[in-house]
Amino acid sequence: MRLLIDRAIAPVVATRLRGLRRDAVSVAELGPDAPSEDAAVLEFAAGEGRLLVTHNAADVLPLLAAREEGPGAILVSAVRYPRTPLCVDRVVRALDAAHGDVPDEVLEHAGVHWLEPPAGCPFWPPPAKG
Amino acid sequence: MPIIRRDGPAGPRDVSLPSGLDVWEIVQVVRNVGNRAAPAARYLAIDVAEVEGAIAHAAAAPGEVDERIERERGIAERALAEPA
Repeated sequence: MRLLIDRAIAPVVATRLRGLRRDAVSVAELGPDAPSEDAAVLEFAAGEGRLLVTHNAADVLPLLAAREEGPGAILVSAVRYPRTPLCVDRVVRALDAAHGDVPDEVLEHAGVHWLEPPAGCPFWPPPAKG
Repeated sequence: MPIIRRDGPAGPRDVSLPSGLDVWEIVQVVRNVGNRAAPAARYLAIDVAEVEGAIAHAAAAPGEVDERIERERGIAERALAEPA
């Protein structure tokens, strides 16, 4: 499973995943020629055979719905994984654990996989309020 | 830092240059780190000046940023509430 980490997710997520021997690259690492519009980012990911890892569901879901083939996306909920330095490790662990769990529909037919906390994750589910 | 208006599948939104990040994406991180620009800049690997520019821009029209953040939250909550 090859990953393209969207620009709005900390680029260090890709660095950390590579440290775990995962094939991940951040859009931020692509330099001045990096695609910036959502459609172009998805096109780049598809050309490289990478799933796009993003929290931008409102833009990405319609684009994937118009596709039938190629890699889809892993959507990261900002509720479960707030974009903060403290949550980088959570995202890395969950993406690492997702290897092998992402359905073929997502990998090959532009499907969507919402990132779930790994089994036994100590921070999920959150404690009930009140 | 310049801000441009860009169309997208979810509708038009303000985009910060040179990173190409949406203004709401930057502001969401700022809010997550206690409304501080420097840690948000480090998280996103962009200049503090770009973060400060996005904050100033969003302050002029906070409704747009709030609406988009809530929209994303709603999509995620609905999707994750569905049985796998």
